Amino acid sequence: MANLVLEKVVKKFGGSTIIQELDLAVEAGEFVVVVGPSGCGKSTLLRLIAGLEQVSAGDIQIDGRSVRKLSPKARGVSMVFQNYALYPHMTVRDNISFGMKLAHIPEDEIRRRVTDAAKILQLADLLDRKPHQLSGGQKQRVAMGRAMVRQPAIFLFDEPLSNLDAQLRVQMRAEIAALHRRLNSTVVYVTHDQTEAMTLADRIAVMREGRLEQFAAPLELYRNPVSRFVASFIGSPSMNFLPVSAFPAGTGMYRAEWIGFRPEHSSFVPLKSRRDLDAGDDAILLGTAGVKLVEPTGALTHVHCELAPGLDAVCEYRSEKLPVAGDEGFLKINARELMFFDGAGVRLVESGKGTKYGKGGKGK
Amino acid sequence: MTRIAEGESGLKAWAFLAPALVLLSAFVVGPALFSVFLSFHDFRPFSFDLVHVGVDQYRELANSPDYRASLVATLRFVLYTVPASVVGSLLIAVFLDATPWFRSVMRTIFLLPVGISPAMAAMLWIFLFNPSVGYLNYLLSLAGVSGPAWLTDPNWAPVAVSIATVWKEIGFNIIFLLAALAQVPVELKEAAWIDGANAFRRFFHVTLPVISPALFFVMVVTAIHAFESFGQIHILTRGGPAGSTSVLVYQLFRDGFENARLGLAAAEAVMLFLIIGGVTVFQFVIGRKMEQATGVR
Repeated sequence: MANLVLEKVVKKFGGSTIIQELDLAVEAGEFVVVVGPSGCGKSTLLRLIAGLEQVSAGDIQIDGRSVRKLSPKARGVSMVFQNYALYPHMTVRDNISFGMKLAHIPEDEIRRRVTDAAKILQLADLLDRKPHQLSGGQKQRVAMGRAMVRQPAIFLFDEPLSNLDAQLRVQMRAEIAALHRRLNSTVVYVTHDQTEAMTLADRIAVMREGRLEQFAAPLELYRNPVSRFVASFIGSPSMNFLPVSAFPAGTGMYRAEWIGFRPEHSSFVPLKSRRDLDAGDDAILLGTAGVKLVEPTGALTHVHCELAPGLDAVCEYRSEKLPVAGDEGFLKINARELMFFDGAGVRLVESGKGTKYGKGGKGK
Repeated sequence: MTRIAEGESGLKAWAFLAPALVLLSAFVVGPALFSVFLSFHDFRPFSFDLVHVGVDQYRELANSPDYRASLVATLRFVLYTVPASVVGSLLIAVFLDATPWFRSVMRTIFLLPVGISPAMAAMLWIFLFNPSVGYLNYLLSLAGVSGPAWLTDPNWAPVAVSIATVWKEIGFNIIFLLAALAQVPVELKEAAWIDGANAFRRFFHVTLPVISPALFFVMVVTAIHAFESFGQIHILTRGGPAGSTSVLVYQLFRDGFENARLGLAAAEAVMLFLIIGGVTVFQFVIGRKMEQATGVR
């Protein structure tokens, strides 16, 4: 368990800058998830921490010690790779003990640690198998075992679950969370899956084009994104963004060009049930909305509708009788949950608590 | 209905296969089977006497000191060429794999000799090996070593022939091993690096085991080529001096076309087929096992 500090880290490959002056401080024992679209530099960041790449400028410190010039081995980190990277010619046992053998750890100590890891990761019956005899989930557990037994200062995970099927992913996610609770180790975990990020992280670092866009706890990111980018990245389905002109006059704030609202804060009201329209002060109605696509998920249904050509939004629908494509109705939006963004995508927040919202209303 | 359709498509399949089948049977399968037939007969090409002699010619080979000597010469040739070619190509491939900017040029250069006809290549080496005016001995003399009589000394002739052979064929092995090296997942080496393995250990504990099936394949193919060698030997040494380079195929050539004993030569061809067939089966079985052991294809 160790803390990790990145100071003005820059990484260039040839002429292009992949990471631009990035600062990040991870506390000891913290589980930090780095998310961002592909190409945002999140994997490069992980490789810089691991020592697989050297920083072009800036510094990386583990427990206050600068490691920027150290080899991966000397940094005391372990890494779990996306495609597991198990040595194909070695048994599970040899895969797990390889690093310890190289470190000249005594045989009985190696055996003890392998046995412990195997017990925790339910690998005890698989120790004599070769990687190609294992399922995807088992391979992933072996990779975690290999990372674990070296008792690293920091665990690095590079999209460890993206090669697994959906069901297994949920299960392994829980196992990784349990493992972290048990070892109480510092973790830096890279993924592009916002659900993984939300469920696993103590704090999430959202990256965009080599910069850190926002670094905060999952719910803080959800409730108070600093930018349109973060707002659209966190939450599923994504937040809707409509130009201010689509809203009734008076909605919005000074300089606001875009208004964002989440599907879960809006609903579809069919024309027929117009009596629901009068929903009080806190709601904004936009219409007429044409239904384009209906996605039932079981508990609730997501309705994709079009307010005007090119102006689409996704909202929830919670009634027995589902609309069908082509139906018309209204979008009912919870005005308390609106977010305002300027033309550059920066979130606009009124000083003091909360934001100003629709119909000139002031809230209660 | 389906049966008719199947019959039709079967007919079509045969139609498409026919040209290849005709050519193969005329020039490969037919002569091969004829060789087996010949090996049980005494056949002199000019008298057209075809006398059935059973396994007499095989018995003759088993008791022939010449044949045994050529078997020894062949094994020695295999022993000289295979380790040099495999280890050499591995070293070069690893070096080229680590120097991408250098790779494409050098790959072409190393592959060039493969494309030269064996006769041309051998002529080139005759000049190089010449004891008095050859470049090789000149270079050795610069180092203060007086070079041997490469092609006329019975101890050195097999070495000389092996050098020429390795030079000519190593390009193929380099290409094959480069491809194998390129397929070793980068993450494996990185995982080993993080596990604390230095470059040396990463090579011996990760890269080498992963490419071992390819390495084994290269080894066997080189051995088979060595068993089949003829062209360069025919031009460089004509099997001499003192039979030191009279390998199996050269012996076969001499029996068939100089001593005019086609039946005996056919028996030698069948023996060679059995040897190479055995090596191939060995490669197949062991190679399959290695692939299973490493889980790599």
